[in-house]
This record gives sequence, C-alpha cells and structure tokens, in this order.
Amino acid sequence: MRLQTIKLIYLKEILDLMRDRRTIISMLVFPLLLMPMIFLGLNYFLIRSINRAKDKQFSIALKQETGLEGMTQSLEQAGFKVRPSENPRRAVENKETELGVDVSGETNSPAIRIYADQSQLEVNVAGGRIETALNQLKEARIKNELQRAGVSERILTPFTVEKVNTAPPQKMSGMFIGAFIGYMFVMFMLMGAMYPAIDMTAGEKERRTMEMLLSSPAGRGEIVLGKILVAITASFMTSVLAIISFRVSSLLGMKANRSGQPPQLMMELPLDAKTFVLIFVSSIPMAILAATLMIAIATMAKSYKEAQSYVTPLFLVAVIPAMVSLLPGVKLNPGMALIPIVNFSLLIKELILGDWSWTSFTLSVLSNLVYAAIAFTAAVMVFKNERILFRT
Amino acid sequence: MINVSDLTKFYQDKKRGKIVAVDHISFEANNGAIFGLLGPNGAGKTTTLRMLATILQPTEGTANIGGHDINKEAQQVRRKIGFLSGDMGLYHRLTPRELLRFFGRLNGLNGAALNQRIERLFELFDMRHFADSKIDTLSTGMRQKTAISRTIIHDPPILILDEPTSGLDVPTAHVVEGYIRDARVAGKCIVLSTHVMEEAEYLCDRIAVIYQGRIRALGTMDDLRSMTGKNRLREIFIELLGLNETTNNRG
Repeated sequence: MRLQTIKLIYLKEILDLMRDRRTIISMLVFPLLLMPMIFLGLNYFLIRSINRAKDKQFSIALKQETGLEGMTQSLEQAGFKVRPSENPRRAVENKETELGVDVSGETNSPAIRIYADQSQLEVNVAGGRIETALNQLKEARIKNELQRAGVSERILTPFTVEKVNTAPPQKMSGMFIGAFIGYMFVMFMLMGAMYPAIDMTAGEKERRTMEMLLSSPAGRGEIVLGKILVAITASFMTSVLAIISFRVSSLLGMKANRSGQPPQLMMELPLDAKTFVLIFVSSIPMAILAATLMIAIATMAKSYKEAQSYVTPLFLVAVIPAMVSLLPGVKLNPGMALIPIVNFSLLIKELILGDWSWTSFTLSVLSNLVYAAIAFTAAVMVFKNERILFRT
Repeated sequence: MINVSDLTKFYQDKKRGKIVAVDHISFEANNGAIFGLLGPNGAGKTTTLRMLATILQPTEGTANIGGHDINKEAQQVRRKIGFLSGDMGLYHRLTPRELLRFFGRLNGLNGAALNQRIERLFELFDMRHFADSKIDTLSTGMRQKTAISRTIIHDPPILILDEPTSGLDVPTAHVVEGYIRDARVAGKCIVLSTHVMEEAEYLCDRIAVIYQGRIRALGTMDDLRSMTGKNRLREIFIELLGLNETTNNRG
C-alpha cells in the first residue's frame, strides 16, 4: 500500500464528489437545512398551538342533570362560551362545540365528565383549562364547607412534599438530547456515506470509468482504501454538520420561544472538551463501519439505481438498534457493548449524560473496530472480485 | 513487446453454464508495429484486451508484456501500458487538465515534468481551448482526444487500444489514427481492436481475426489474402467467419 497513491485517489474522489449535486444535497444541504427546518418548524407549530389554545374562547356543551352551583360562572370566568345541551358528547362528536361537560349523579357528590377530541392538541390544552377551573371550584366549595363546620383550612395540608433534583444540569439536558443524538448520529453517518459510496462504486461502473482506474498502476487495495476514506470523511462531515445544525437550531428555537423557557426539544447540547473528544474517538470505528459497509454493498450493484435499492435496507436494519438509545432506562452493559450500532448510540447517550464507564467505552470502541475491520476486509474482497466488479 | 500464450477466459453463468469468452489464444505483438484484433461483437476482443491490461485475471494461460507476466507482475505491467477502453472512461465532472494531472500522478509523474507533458498533449491534439472545461460539456471528439491523452500521459511503451476511433467523426478519427501511426514510428508496441475494416487494413501490420473466442487467422494482409483467396479485408473477414457459406446456402 502506497500512501501517495491512496492520497491521490482520495483527493480526486473528493474533488469529483464536491461537483456532484446529489452528494452535496445529502452531505451538506440536508443536515444544514433540514435539521433547522424540522426543529424550528416543530417548535413553531407546537408553541403556536399551545398559545392559541391558551387564548382562544372555546365553546362547551353543558348538561347539568345534577345541579352544581357556580359551575357555569366558573367555566365562563375561565374563558369558555357555555351552551346548554341535552347531549354534550354528541355535540362534540358532531362538532357543534369543541368540548362537552356532563354533570350527573347524586347532589352531594356529582360526577363530572369532560368530552374532548383528544387527537387535537388545542382541545387537549382546553380540556386542561376546564380541569383547572373545576378544581378551583372544588377547592372553593371545600373551603366553604370547612368554614361552615368551623374547621381550619390547614387540615387540607397536614404535610408538604418537595422533590429535589440531584441530577447535574448536564444530565438533565442530556436526558433527552443524548438519547436523540445517539440515534441521529447513526442515521447521519449512514446517510453521509451513502451517496459518495454509491457514486464511487456503482456510479463509477455505470459511467464506465472503473476500467481506467483499474488499468492504472494503483493497486485495488489502494483504490478501495482511498474510496473508503472519502466515504468516512463524508460520513463524519455529515454527522458533525448535523450536530452543529442541531445546536444552532436549538439556540434559535430558544430565542424564538416567547416564554423564554425552552421546550423539551430545544434544550442545550451539553458538550465539554472531554466529552467532545470521547464522542469523536467513539465515532471513528462507527464511521469506518458505516462507510465500508456502504462501499461493500454499493460495489455489488451495477448501476446507481440498483445500488440505492441495495443500500436502503441497510438503513432499515440500522434504525432498530440505533433506536435503543431512545428507550428510557436501557444502560450500556458489557453485553450491549458488543452489539454494533446499539453500543454506539447508547455510548453517545451516556457520554452526553456524563454517566459512562471506561469498560463500556473501551469495549464498544474495540468491538466496533473489529466490526469495521471485518467490513473493510469484505469491501476489499468485493472490490477484488472481478465477477462482482464486472457484473453485467 | 507482447507475448500471449494460451490465454483463456471462462465464465460460469447460472443459466447458460460455462461460457468461453477467450479460448487458448496465442500471438505476438512487436515493438514499432501495430497488431490488430478483428472480430464481431462478443468475439472475445475486449476480454482479451482487458486481460492484457490486468483488469481481468485469465482462467488459463498468460501473457508477457514488456518483460512482465500479467499473472505475477500485474502492477509492473500496468506501469508499462496505456489502456484505452471502448467507453473512453472519463470522469465527467473533471476537466481534461484535472484528469490528466490525476492519471499522470498515478503513473509517477509530478511537478514540471507532468505540466510539460500535459501541455505537449494539449498541443498535439489541439486541446487548449477546452482544457479547463468540464468533460461532460465536451463533444465526442473532444472527449476522445482527452481519453487518448489520458492513455498516453505517461508515454508508455505499450498501447492497448479497444476501438479507439469508435463513434468518432472523420476529422477526429483522422487525428487519432495519425497519433497511432506516429506511435508506431516512435517504436511503441500497439495492440488495437476495431470493427472498422478500412482502419485495420490501413493501420495494422499484422491482424488476428478472432471469432467465438478463438483466433481464426493471423498474419499480414498478404498472409490473410493468400489464406482466403480474397483481396479486401471485409471479404477476408466474412470468409474466415464462414458467413459466405451461410449466405450461399440461404441463396
């Protein structure tokens, strides 16, 4: 293996890919534009719906089979437009009103039912507003009864409970974001490597440039290594850009939020230098694995289109283990550290949470290095197999 | 010099079974001479040239190219050859200058020597006006000039050319043929495959007619004439492939 030849192939492929629209879109535009679009868009619609639900005057169909004093006034004070109805449930189902309230049962302890189409976010928020209004009414009635009986209100609070959060801020922010980033990292690594890998293998076959390269003094091992390094670069670049883009969009999202309180999705990314270096180190074998797998699979195809259909199932296969990081309570134990993709997405989560062990870290990195080496050997073998390379 | 000995290539096909692409062919091609491989589509010309260029591994037999065995010293062989495929094989997103620089460096050229060589080829094939345009914007003729320049960027002593004038207009084909003749004068060993009878007759010192993977006849034009009793290469070719009998039987 000559480094100079590998470098030449690497630089040529980078130049070639930088002029390919599909690669630019998947590698640069997609993570840089799509991430802010998803997060800012989601944030915008979420906040807009919640704010609208807070301010909007919803209509309520009210049936008082059992009279409840102050009910109508309480709901009107809470900003609802109350309409008497014989069947509140049907009124909601027929969309005559947005909500329905039914008071029935004994006069001493009536039962209240709230009807709402819970598939609608706004109506859900409004349902919460009704509950608050009714709780206030309930509290007022209890206080009245206690006063009438000459009992102090303090009987209602014999003791107080306070939950104290002992988790450091990094752990709190990382709880959601760590789980999500582990999954996202895997997806973007695969996505970043996909188009370059296809273009450099099946694309090269389709354009009939492969023969020229193979008849040059460059060895097949050197050619495939140069190409794999390009796919690794693309894989890394895409995931790093996605993280940067995620960070920027989270900051923008926080600024855009009127209340100043970031919603859960928009928490800050907790990254100190040590965590960053550890994430970087653990990403290397994962990027090699993603890139070499893509190269090996795409080399088997004879055209760009065929390669896409070969590579797409790889995403489906990778999604499931990558999603393990999204599951609450799953920890990276030595057994898990040996499962590719699962180990990486969990390790990223735990690194961001600041709750990791050197054993799991070392096991995950080493096992992924072994998988990457196997994938690399497979890619070289595929590339050296002329029946695959010249499949017609 | 090229010395081909019992070169053979079999393929295994799931449906068709064993396919013999090239069947124990042997020939010699000398320095300062053009050796032509003539045959219909699927005769085994391209497979033969690909094996000589070490792109494909022979099933049996071997070839010695410039003193190196294609099975044992593939890399040394590739340093000595310039291979042009029928598809040109150009990176369409690069410019001719970038392409030549890349292949020049792969062949060990660098710095001033590489730049001088590139400029010389631009001059030789009148390429300056499109040297910095992307290849996908170039005409077929311009592309073929680029492909030929890429093949000879390292000035190899042996040229393996698969249908070098295929699809070219007459002026561009003339330029390419001119270069091949000049290369012969410069003492290079040239093996080319072609469909164009006139070209083979005009360029080649010796011709092998290949059909169904086997060499049916080999020699100079005069040798082929005396073998078949025909004068023109087209008639010789049809005679050697046995197509005359088919036509006569049908008639």
